[in-house]
Amino acid sequence: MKSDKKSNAKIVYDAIIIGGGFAGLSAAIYSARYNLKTLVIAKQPGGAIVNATHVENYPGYVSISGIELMQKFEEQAKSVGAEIMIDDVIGVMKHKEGFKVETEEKEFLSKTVIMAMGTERRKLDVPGAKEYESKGIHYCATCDGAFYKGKTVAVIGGSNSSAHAAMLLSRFAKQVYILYRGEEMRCEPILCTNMQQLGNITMIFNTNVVQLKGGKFLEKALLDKPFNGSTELALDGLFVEIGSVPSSAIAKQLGVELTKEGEIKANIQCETNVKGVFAAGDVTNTPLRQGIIAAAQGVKAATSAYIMLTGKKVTGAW
Amino acid sequence: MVNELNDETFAKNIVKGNVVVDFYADWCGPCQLMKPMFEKIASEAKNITFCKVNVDKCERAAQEHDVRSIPTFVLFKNGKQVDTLVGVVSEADFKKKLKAVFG
Repeated sequence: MKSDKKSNAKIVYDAIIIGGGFAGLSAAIYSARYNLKTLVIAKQPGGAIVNATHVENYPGYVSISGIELMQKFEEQAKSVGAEIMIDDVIGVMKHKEGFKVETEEKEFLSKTVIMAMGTERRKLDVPGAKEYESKGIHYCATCDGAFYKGKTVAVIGGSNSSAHAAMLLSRFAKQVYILYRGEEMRCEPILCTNMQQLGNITMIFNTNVVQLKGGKFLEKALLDKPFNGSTELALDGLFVEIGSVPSSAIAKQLGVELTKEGEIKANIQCETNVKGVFAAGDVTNTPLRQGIIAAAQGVKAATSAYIMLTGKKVTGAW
Repeated sequence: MVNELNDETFAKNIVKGNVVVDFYADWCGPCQLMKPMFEKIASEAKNITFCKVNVDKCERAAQEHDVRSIPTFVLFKNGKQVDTLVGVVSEADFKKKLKAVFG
């Protein structure tokens, strides 16, 4: 059956990179520098880090906004000849040229695919969570914190992200609660120190939210343990930082092996079990989800693609 | 072209016809990501007026239209709020929404 999609079938890329964050753009830079015809298809250029107002642990920058940092990656990728487009890849299938990569309205061919789709935020799964999404429940403190000037908000989670969210919100809100199921925060110690120095962050441990209630907007969270004598916590806003899940659906469809957590299984050279498909960044079974790690994996994935396509050695044991 | 509105000019600019308003902030990464796409669609679309509101400068307009997350795109028909899109949206999905709401 003839496809209705607009096809770029005359062009066969050497590498199509799915995802435009640290891993995807880093892969693009190296892929293009290897003289591979490279296309990046990104649903959100820059990836998840664009939500961060201050990135302070990417080597080389004392402090830089996420979007600024990724604009530099993008600029570099384009300067060496990588093409970048904003679209959502809905499927990847094997093709005689290698692979066909589909978005809703277009299709592309490539000899190799580098999967760098990253992760999506894990959604809160309690009654009321869906009903009040964007009506008091948020997944991005950077984007939405400013709407809570002088209000009372809470952050769910005990990670670095949770600490950063709480500190950002403390600039706007009169009171910030951290609600965490663990006994203590599991963020970097320096963040705990920073939070303690702010006067309006209160941490509530060993506690879970079991329901969210309100009228048109969120008004309260019901807790599984009392706080200050009550299991009802009056809130204007709730920010959810409970981790993320790998965006690996298209990998699964293609037959790429995943871990039980849904991460793409990539070896040390960022190869997957499907010849010609490589993976990098937070979508993989990486032991540490940090930008610098994802960027390095992007390099490895691009290098593996290059070696596969050319048969050339790069360096050392590779 | 995308018109920048403020609290004083907001009401009179949405009262007639099909209007899409981008509620944004300068410091918001996803808002900056959506900006070129919004401008591109604005330059191509017919019979729709495209506007933007900086939520830091125009708190009233954001509050009156229940904007609590940015970017939020609010669609109006003759002054009545008929639909919204929240967050980063692909060009295809944005156009689909406009077609569904405005025809």
